[in-house]
Formats: sequence, structure tokens, C-alpha cells
Amino acid sequence: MSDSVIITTNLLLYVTAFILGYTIGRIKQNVGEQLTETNRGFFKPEAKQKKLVKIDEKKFVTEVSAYTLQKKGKDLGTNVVIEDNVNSAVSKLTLLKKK
Amino acid sequence: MAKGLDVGTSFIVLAEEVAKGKVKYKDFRDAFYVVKPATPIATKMIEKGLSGKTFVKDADGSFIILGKDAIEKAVERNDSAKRPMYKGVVSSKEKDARRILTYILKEVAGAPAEPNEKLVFCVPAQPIDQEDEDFDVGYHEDVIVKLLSEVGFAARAINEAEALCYSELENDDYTGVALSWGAGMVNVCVMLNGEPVVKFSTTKSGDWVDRMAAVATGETDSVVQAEKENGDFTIGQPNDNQVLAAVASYYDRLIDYTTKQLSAALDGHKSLPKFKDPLPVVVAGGTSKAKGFVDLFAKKLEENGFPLLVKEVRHAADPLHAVARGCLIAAQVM
Repeated sequence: MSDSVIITTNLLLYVTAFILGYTIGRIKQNVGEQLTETNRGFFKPEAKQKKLVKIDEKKFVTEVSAYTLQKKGKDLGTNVVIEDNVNSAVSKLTLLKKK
Repeated sequence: MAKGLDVGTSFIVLAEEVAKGKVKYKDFRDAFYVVKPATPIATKMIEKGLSGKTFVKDADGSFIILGKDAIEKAVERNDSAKRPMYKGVVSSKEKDARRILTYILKEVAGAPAEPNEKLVFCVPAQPIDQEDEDFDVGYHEDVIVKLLSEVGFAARAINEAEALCYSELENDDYTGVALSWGAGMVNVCVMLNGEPVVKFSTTKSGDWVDRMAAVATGETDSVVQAEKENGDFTIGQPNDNQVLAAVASYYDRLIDYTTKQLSAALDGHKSLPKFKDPLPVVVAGGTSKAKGFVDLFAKKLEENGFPLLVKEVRHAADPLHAVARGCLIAAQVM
């Protein structure tokens, strides 16, 4: 055999071995990824993170009785009546809120 | 029928339409002062001395003077009157304050005209310049709703500056900026076509001016408050009265601080729309009633780089009642 045939054969062997190795490697990698995805889906860790469960920490409003306070003096506050038409404001705002 | 209620640190104001084109406002100074008699004779003497004043008698025999009479009594005794609220909210730690606020609100709001009459009251926004564990708007709102529901109202809360927008921006298609300068804090709302887009508050206002002026002059807060409300001064101008001179100076600093906070908070704010026209800026509240306030505020807005184009800076038509009026309008719309 001539030298050129030997070199070509070796080259083909190397290329074939590389392609085979690359293909097997990719297949194995895909299988691993699929397994990982499967695991993630099974435990649903993402879904758990999104659904945040919080406890209601709003302060409880306790009963406070003002009945022990006995009214003695005059009425609270001062009254004043002003000429003021709020109806136009109410109508305009009602229209805006409906939009 | 519906009612609007401005629950402020310094004033509680009820608004109701009593006839077509007529609105009745009931103003109450949000303050109390406790006098505890030492002997039974003192009890009788104090009670006699309080005739003609607004007060209640507690189960332990002490007298609780309410409203402006409380401030007058405190000044008389070189003391400071107390407040049932602090910086816009009721404190969960102050049981006595809550008890007194309960009494005051029930008296001011009165009985509903019909079962479940609508009542809208105002609450402050979350402050941008302070993180205080005791500042709990949710708790404050729950307390007010609970006690007004007990009386028979269907009560709902609204932001204080939003209420001011409803009262004052009718001719601007409900688009603009409103600032409610209360005693405890400044509430801000930017509104676009009736929808609030940005709401926040800052925690320095009229009470801060009183406190700082009191420290500077060695007077009590109540004395400073009384001088401030009855005296003649213009913000930023010298005054022969040392208390008023201090008040004028601290007012200047307060307006500078608030406009800087306002500019910083709104600059590049994600929720701000691109307004096509310059906006009206409306101010209201007891703190804004000082002479020279609006002019200095407009000047400081410009100096401190307010990020929105301003058409005009104006005072509310009725600065002390504007928030209650806005609450009344909201109650009628809801």
C-alpha cells in the first residue's frame, strides 16, 4: 500500500471514531437532561416558589370601650354651612370612573 | 345620603350635604388634656371651672378636656395638650388615645341618617422618609372602620391627598398634583383623569415646625402652636416675636425639605405617565395657611428640580375643609 492510502485510511478512522464518540456523548447528555427535567417536574419546585404562603400579620383591633367617658360639657366641634355644589364634581368623577 | 370625614392629626372635619348646594362642615380640634383632681373638693372646683368647655369625666374621676379648650388649658398650665393620633395614625400602643379617639369620632360623625350610610374617611400614605414600626396605616384604617361600623356606617378609607384631588381638580379633568399639608405629615398624590398614579407621604409638617421652634425658644409645643395660629408672620421674613421668627425660619426649611423629597420621589418614577400638558399643583391643610406659603413653595419647587411641568401652584379654595369635601365627593361617587 502506498503511503497516501495509509494516511487516508487513518484519517477516515480518526474522523469516524470522533463522530461516533461525539454522537454517543450527545445522546447521553440528552438522556441526562431529560432526567433532570423529569425530576424538576415531579417535585415542582418552581411552582412551590411561586405560590408564596403568607401568614396574616395584620394587628388585631382589640375592643376599646369609650362608655366610661361621661359627657359633661358642651357639644364637640363647631359647625359651619357653606354654599357649595358638589354635584357637578360627583357627576364628572362618576363619568370618568366609568370609562 | 353620604358623609366625608377628614381624620387628621390636628383636626377632624366632617362634611355632609345638608341641602342642594349646601355643605355643612363640623370642625373639631383633635386634642385632649387630662386634669386629675387630688381631692373631692378639687373635683367640684375643677368641674365648676370647666363649665362652658368641652370635656368628659372618666371613670377614675379625672376630667378630659377636649378640642381647642384642651389647648387653652394646656397653655394656661404651661404644658402641652395631647393628641389621640401621632403623625397621621392612631398608635396601637396608646390605649388611652384610642379610647379618646373613639369617643371623639363617634361624637363628630354622629348617628347615620340611614342604616349603612356611606362614609368615606381619609388615611395617610406610607411615608418615604421614615420606617417606623408604629406607623401602621392598615391598623389605623381597621380601627376607624371598626368604630364607625359600630355606630352603623358603611365606612371606607381613601388616601388623604387623593381626596384633595377629588375636591380641587374638577376643572382640570382630575389631572394634577395635590399636597395635603396636615399637622403630622404631608400627603402627596399625582392624578391622571381621576386615577391616582403615585401616592406617598413625608413625615415632617406643622408639628415639626412647632417642635423645632419650641426647642429653639424654650416654650412648650402648645404655646408655639397658639402663637403660630394667632400671630402675624410671613415665612422667610424677620419677626420681632422670637417664637414667630423661629416658626418662620423652620417653615422655610420644611418647604425646602418637602420639595426636595417630592422631586427625588417623582424623578424617574416608573408609574408616572407622560403628561402632555403642564400640571396644576394644589396645596391644602392647616400648615399651608401661613402667609407666603404658596409663593415660597412654588419657588422651591422650581429651585429643587421638580421633574414635572407645572401650570400653576394654587391654594385649595377652602384649605381646611378641602380633604373632607373630597371624602364627601368620593362617598357620593362610590
